[in-house]
Amino acid sequence: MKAPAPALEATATAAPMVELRGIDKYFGAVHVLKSIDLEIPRGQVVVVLGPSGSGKSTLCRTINRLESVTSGSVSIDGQPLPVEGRELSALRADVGMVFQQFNLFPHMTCQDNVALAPRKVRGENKHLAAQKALELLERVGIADQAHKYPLQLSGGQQQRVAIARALAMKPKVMLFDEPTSALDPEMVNEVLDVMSALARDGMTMLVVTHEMGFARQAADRVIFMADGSVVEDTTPAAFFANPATDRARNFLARVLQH
Amino acid sequence: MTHSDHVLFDEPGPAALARHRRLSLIFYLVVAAIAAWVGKTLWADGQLAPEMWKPFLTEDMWTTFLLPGIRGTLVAAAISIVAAVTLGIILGACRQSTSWVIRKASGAIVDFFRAIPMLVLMIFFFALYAGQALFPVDYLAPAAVISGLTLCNAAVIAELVRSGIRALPRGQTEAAEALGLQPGHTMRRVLLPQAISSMLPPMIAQMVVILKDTALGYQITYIEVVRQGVQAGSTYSNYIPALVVVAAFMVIVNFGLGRLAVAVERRVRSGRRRSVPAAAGTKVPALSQL
Amino acid sequence: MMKKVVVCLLAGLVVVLSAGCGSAASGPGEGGHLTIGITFDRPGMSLRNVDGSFSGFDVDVARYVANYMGVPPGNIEWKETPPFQREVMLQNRQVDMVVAAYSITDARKEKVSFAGPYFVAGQRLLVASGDNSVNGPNDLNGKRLCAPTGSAPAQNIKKNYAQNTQLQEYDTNVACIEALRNNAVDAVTSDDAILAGFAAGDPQRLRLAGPAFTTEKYGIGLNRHNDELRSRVNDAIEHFVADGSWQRAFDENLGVSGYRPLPVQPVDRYTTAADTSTSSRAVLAEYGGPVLAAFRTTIALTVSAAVVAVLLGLVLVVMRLSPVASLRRAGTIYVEIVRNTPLTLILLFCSFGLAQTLGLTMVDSTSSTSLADSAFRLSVLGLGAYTATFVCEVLRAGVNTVARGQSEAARALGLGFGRTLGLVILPQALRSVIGPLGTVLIALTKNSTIASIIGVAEASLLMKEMVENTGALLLVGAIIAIGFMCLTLPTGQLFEFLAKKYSVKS
Repeated sequence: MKAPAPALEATATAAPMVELRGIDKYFGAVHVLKSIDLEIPRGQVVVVLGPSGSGKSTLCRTINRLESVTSGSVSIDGQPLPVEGRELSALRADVGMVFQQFNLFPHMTCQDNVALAPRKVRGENKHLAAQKALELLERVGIADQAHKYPLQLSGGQQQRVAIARALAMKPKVMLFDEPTSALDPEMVNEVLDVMSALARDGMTMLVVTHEMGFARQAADRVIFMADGSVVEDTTPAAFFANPATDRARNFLARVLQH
Repeated sequence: MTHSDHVLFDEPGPAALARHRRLSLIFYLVVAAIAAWVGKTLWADGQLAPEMWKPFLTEDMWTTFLLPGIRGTLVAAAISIVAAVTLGIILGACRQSTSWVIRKASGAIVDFFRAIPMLVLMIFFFALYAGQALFPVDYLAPAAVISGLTLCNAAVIAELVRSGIRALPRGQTEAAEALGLQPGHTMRRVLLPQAISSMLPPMIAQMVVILKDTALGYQITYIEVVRQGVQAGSTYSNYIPALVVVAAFMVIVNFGLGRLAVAVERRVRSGRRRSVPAAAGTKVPALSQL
Repeated sequence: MMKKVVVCLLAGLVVVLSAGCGSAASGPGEGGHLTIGITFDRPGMSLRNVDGSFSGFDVDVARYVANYMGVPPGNIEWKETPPFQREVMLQNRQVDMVVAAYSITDARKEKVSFAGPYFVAGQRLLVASGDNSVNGPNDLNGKRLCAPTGSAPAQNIKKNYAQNTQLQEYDTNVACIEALRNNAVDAVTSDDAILAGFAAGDPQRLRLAGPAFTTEKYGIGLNRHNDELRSRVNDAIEHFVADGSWQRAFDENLGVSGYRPLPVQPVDRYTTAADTSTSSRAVLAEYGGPVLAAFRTTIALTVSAAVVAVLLGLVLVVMRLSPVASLRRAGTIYVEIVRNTPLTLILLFCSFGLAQTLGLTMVDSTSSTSLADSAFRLSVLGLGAYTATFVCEVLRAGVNTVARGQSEAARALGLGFGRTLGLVILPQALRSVIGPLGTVLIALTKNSTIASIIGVAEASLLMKEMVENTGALLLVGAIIAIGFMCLTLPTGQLFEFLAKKYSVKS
């Protein structure tokens, strides 16, 4: 179990890595995010829990503007998130994202998938990028699959390649949108292991998930969302042992039955 | 913008929106300029004069020219649709038959009729029926038109049915076998109904094709709406307005059919809890409308 | 459930079929019924009035002959027999006789037989009022001439007077007159009786040029194998002239235009020549070259139209997928309208609308092949504009089938719009559209046959001519079918192969 990160205490000497202020989001008439305020200090691992429809995925996606916000502001490492254009792309390069459906590019090998962004966005040399890609694939444990195409791999292997791809850009913060929800049970752990290792190495992470074990062991902070608002925001220990609200209690009761 | 628009690009920010507005403005100006030029030329030629369009308010225009044409188009289309769907379903089922002979024979038939143009078929049948006196003279042209339409579209529908059957999970056939059903029964009662209902949208789209292709009858003396429009244009010296009216009729009817196909597709989709592998099916709709 | 559907369909079929059933046509003159073919658009000669009734000199002749044979006017069924369909309809017995300013020629006598003549006209030219350069058939070298499809006058000029005339054929006289008014052609040729009627109707813009330069004998067309009928019709014509009906009919219909007819000639009761059958070898020998030429045209049409279709289709798909709402809307409107219009109609629009009315002919009008080029290029434009809608839809489906997560993953990595499109979306989309694009190309090849409606000399037009001239239907059908299969089947195989080769590996 990870030691509680110092960031939970009040003072922060540097700007928080991720800062959300007054985020409101509407899908048509539906109020999906209701005035969210959130600060994530450097190196903190945050797990976002909640029932479906609570807005947790949407929240995750507003951080790199895959979803726009109706009002409010988003800052990454002190810089406000641009709304469009080249500046947005540049800032996105510093935010890594891992998707539920992996979204690997099926027409390229795994190694090319990982090397693509460093080559095309940062202009890295082809061979250097390929070599670094191989190292990253090694780090997530599938260097031997480097020359295979994504659809030839299992789900767990694909997701690990996806993590390597996100890491290739040396991001400041990593976003995980239900990374294991599409995996068969026996493959979930291999992915969670990689994520735990990342957490140990000090990556700032925001993880939307249903995996309570991961939340208990690897997270510094648990955020519980319901109906578009943050209902609870506390340490894993506190949350799982003694949830403060009825919503959270009901949720845990249903989920932990498994 | 709705969610579904974001396939390729982010939701535009203010700078992008301003750029879009400028682009829109330029585009509208260009379109307006072209429309103005066309309108001016047509006006100078007298095509927009009221006398050109007044005949459409007379009864004669409709009873002598347009209505017989519309009737011809609709009758040929209706008969062909029924025949093509029936024949297509049979051919499609035959292509998946357990008998090698039936499979190959129906495959050859389908490939043949997809390889030759419909007009060639119509010309052939017209000459054949006339030469062999197979139909009373009044029915030579409609018979040839319907024969051509039926055979070509039956082949297309056979392919739709075949891909619909192949898109069904293997488990359906296996379950039927496990229950002891003969192959013929399996096809008729288990596979075909499901395949057809999943292929209903592209089949309805195929009806649009049939309706459009009745116009080919123009070239073998069949009385259909395009020919009657040209006739009317010739009589009243208003070709352009006549063609426009005929085009409007066809567009409206076909567009309605297209909408029907979309509505049916939505109902079919919502009626399924598990999504049938759509890849095999949805690629076909674009093709079958040709 | 299925059974009910099939029963319903069959019942519907029966209902629809029986709705159109009338009594079968009885033989000519028997039971007092005749089907007579005339043209519907010749003022003074034979015209269908807007209320559906018929009037004109030819109509009066037909009524007289029918009456002579014991068929009252109410039992006559009038059918339209435009020049290009007269022989076919007589051969198929779709009409019993044709009374339509039908000139007796030896070539036609091989397919049909004639009673008469009942009128002698001359071929003349109709030009624009202000045009003084054309005063006779010899002035037509390098000029553009219009005549109804299949009519004798046009062939006559090309053969005997001006080999360098370009010929534009339209289905009807009126279409030619329109073309003359729009300056799409320099002269219209037809029988003076017919042209007089038109000139009288528009003296400011049209004038008859020069004297008549041929003699045209009008006969009543009949099926080749009915000598008894021909004899009776000849009797009727002789009576028609003898009892003054001819003069009366002339005065009522044509006299007013001041036109003076040539004197009537006696009927010609010739004996029909024996049927000449055409052997397969003869057909192949005679048509081998034209078949190849026609298919070359088919290929040229297809390839050119494919290029237009791909270019325009790319523009359309960019519009339909663009973030700019007005472009999206415009693309959708274009696709929906063009896709739902029959290709026949689109090509007619190109010919009448673009070329004649708006003057966009896309050719150098002084060139000696300008008319053929014009028809070809207009067809390419029409085919291309129509097929572009399907190319657009195929490409759009291809892009939309690429999971949207792909675009999100690319953007999340920091790839801009251009790179996302070029590196991630398009490579996947293009691989999946190879198959469907092959089908579009095959359909385009087949649709090229529709260009025959504006006179492009491609394979189906040749097929019609071959069928009419040789009667060797199965052979002709086989040749044309094989020709198209040689085009479409290899194309299909090629695209299937390419699609498999470039598909995403899984």
